Parts: sequence; C-alpha cells; structure tokens
Amino acid sequence: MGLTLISTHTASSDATLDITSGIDSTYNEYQFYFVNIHGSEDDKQFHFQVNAAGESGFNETITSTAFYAFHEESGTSFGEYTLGYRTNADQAQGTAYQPAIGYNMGYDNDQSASGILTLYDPSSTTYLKHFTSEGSVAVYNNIAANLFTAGYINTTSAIDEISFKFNSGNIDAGTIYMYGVS
Amino acid sequence: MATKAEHLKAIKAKHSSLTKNVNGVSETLSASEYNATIDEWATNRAAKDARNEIIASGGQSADYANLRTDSMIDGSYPSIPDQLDMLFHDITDGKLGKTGSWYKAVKATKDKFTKP
Repeated sequence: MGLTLISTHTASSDATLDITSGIDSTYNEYQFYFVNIHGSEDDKQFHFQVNAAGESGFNETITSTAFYAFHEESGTSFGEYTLGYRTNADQAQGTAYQPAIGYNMGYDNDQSASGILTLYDPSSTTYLKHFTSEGSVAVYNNIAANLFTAGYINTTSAIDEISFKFNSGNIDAGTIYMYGVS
Repeated sequence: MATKAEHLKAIKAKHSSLTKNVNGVSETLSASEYNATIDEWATNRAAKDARNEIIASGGQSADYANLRTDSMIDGSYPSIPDQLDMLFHDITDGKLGKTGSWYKAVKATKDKFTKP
C-alpha cells in the first residue's frame, strides 16, 4: 500500500474547510489525516459531509455508527475509564454532518484532536460509499478519548467533494492532509 | 441558560464576518452563508445549553435514554462492571431487593432523567 499526498489544507479561523478538487477515480481509497484540529469553542463536535458529483450542498444521506473509549486524567467522576456506544454521534439515513475524529473537544490552548478518515471508492457508481474514522481527542473536561466512527454514504452517485467544520465555532487551526491510497 | 436569540446576538457581536477555506483559499462567507452559519451555531449552542441544564438538574427529556446510558454524563448508569460488582455484593449481603446498591444506583439514574 502506498500513500500519495494529493493536497494539504491548513485552517486558520475558518468556519468550514472544503476540499472540492482531487477526489476522483484516480484512487479507490482516500485518506484524510487530521493533525491538531483546534476549535474556537469548548465541548464541540468536528464533523464532515460530502457532495455528490454534479449536485449542490453537503447533504448526502448517511447511516453510521460511533463508539469511543475514554480515560480521565484524574478522578473518577465518570468511572475513570470506559468503552461505549455514542448514540448522539451516529445517524440513520440522516443528512447532517457526521462526527469524525473529534467529539466533545476541548478548546484550551493545548487541546486538539488528531486522526484519520478513510473514504472508500468515492467514484463508484455501483456501490454506496463506506467510510471509517478514528481520532484521538482531548475532551473538554480533561479526558483522553478514542473515537471510532464508521458507516456509509447511501448513494451510488460519485462523491467528489468533502467538507469539514465544527457544530459551532470556527476551525481555529489544524492541518488536513489528503492522500490517495494505491 | 441563554436562548437561541441571545446566542445569535452574541455570535454576531463576536463575528462580524466569517470565512470558509476552499482548497486552501480563504474566502469571506456570503451574507446568506453567514446567516445560515450563525443560525446553525446558535441553534446548536441553545440545544447544548438545554441539554446541560438537564444534565445538571435532571428532569424530563425526550433524550432520556441517551442521557441515562452516556457514560460521560454525570448521573448516567454505572458501568456494566460496576453494576455487576454491585450485584455481587448485594447477593453476598442478601440485598437483592430495593435496599440493594444496584437497585438504588439504577433507580437514581431513572429518577434523574425521566421520560416525558
């Protein structure tokens, strides 16, 4: 497996970060590496949506799952550590932005989230589009969380655009690297 | 707890304009994009406030099932290992009725986050 860097995107107090070029039939798999994504507001979700080729708006239908493990820095107010399904980070045929890599993210100066989102065969016109993501998150109340999401974009249309944002507040900083996998 | 209108006012005061980053180029949001964005932010902030109010004080919520089972929420059900440990001790102590620690713990969560 080889990774080819297609583009690099650095956020700087942007409400959204959209990638509208470079996703095509060249690769069967695309990976988005997120490094130190930092929001402007506390306890917020970092999420994504996609747009099908020839259509408008980031509003494709998604069915997804989400679970996480977390471990507190100190104390046992939430049971110290746990593994659990995240009911408010999944969708059942929803068109909202899908949480990925970061949930309940903190916005202290030293807090951020990093991780990987993989989008499979986005140019297929036969199959729906699977995705998986894994992120390491500095949660707002000083918890280390490992968020896993997966699911499919329920369309057989080709996907050629992707958008990232927080559910409230700007993406203050962070870099997204888009790779093609061959 | 701020209302959506109060959040809208605060967001407008803080952000007179917003930008989007498209393929590495930063652009100012159009008026319609700006209004849609701050409306979404205000809606989400108000919803979060309402949820936090329930988490802090308890009460009726259509989201009661999620509140009860989200282990990051104070007052949610104890973890499965902790519940099993409670049951072990309740059995050992002969307290499998309403005086047992497991029953009390689960009831406390059900009492805090109630069905509408």
